[in-house]
Amino acid sequence: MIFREAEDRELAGRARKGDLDAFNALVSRWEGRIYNYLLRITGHAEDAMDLCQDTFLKAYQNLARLEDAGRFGAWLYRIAHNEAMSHLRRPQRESELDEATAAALRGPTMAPVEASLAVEAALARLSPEQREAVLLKVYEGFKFEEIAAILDCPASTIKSRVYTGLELLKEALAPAERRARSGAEG
Amino acid sequence: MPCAEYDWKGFVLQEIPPEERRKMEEHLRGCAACRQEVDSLGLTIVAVRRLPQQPAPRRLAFVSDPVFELPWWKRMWRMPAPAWGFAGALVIAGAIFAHGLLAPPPAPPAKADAVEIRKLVEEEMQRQMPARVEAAVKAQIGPAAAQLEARLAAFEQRVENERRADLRDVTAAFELLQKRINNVYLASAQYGGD
Repeated sequence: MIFREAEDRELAGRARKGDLDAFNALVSRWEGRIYNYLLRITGHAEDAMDLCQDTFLKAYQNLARLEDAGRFGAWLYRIAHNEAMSHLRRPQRESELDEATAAALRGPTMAPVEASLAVEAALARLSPEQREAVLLKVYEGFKFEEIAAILDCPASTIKSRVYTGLELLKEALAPAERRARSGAEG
Repeated sequence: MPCAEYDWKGFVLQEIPPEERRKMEEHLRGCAACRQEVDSLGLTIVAVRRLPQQPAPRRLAFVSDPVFELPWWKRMWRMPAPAWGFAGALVIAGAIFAHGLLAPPPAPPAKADAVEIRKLVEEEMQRQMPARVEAAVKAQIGPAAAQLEARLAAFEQRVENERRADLRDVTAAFELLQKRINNVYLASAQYGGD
C-alpha cells in the first residue's frame, strides 16, 4: 500500500507536469479496480466502462486540483463515485427492463463459482449506500476516514453503513458458510 | 451471542487501536461465542474479497487518444510563460491597431472670427517681435562684435605698452639731463662760480 502510494505520488506528480506516459501508467494501474467498483455499483458492464472512461477523463482534466498526489487512488474513487451517482440519478434506459437482459449484459463470468454467486446475491440485497461502503472498505481496503472523503459524508455514517452491511452479508452468507463447514468436516 | 462490549466488526476490519486489539485477542482465547462471531465475520470478509475482478469489455482510452484531448480553453491554461507573453503582446498590439482603426477622427476646431484671429496674431507678433529681433541680431553680429572687441582690447594693450615705453625713455632722458646739469654745477663751482 505504501509502495503503491509512493508510485502514485511520483506518477501523478509527473502527469501534472504534462508527462502523458505517467498518466497512461496511472490509468493502467487503476482502470481494473475503478471499472470493477463502478460495475458493482451500476451492475452494468457498458455503463461501468463509460463511467470509468469519464472518471479518468475528469481526473486528467483536473489533475491540477489534486492536493496530495499520494492520495491519487482515493481521489480517483471520489471522482468515480460522483460519476456513478450522476449516472444513477439520470432516468434509466430500457436495458434494465428485466433482470434476464441485465444479467446477459453483465458479461459471461460475473460469478463463476457458487461462493461468488452467493456473495454477489448477498451484496445485491444491500442498499446502494451500504454496498458501496462495504466494497470500499472490504474490497478496496480504504480506512473509514478515506471512505468518508470519497463519499463526502461523516466517518460515523460510513462506519454505520459498513457495520450494517457486513451484518447483513454475514446473515445472508451463513447458510453457504455452514454448508462449506459441513463439507469440510464431512 | 457474542459479548456486546467488544467491537468485533472493527476488529476484523482492522479499525481497532493496537492496545485495545491486544485486549480483545486475549478475550477471544476464553470466549467461544466471540470466537465464533469473529470467525463468521472473517469468512464473510474473505468471501467478499475473493470476488473475481471482471475484465473490462474494451480497452480504456489513454491520454494520447482523442477522448483525452483537452478543450481549447484548458489547453490555453497549460501554455508556457513565454507563449503567454507572446500572446499578451499580440492582444495588446491588436487592441492598439483596432483602436486606431475604430476610434473616431478628432473633431475639427470651431470656426473662429477671422478679424479676431488677425488681431490676436498681431498682438502676439508685437509682443514677441522685439525679443525675437534682438535675438536674431545678436545671433548675426555676435561673433563679429566679439572679434572687434578682442582686437580693440589688443590695440589698447599695445598702446599702453608703447606709452609705458615712452615714459621710461622720457624718464631716462630726464635723469640724464639732470646728471649733466649737476655736472655743469660742479664744474662751475670748481672754477669759482656759485
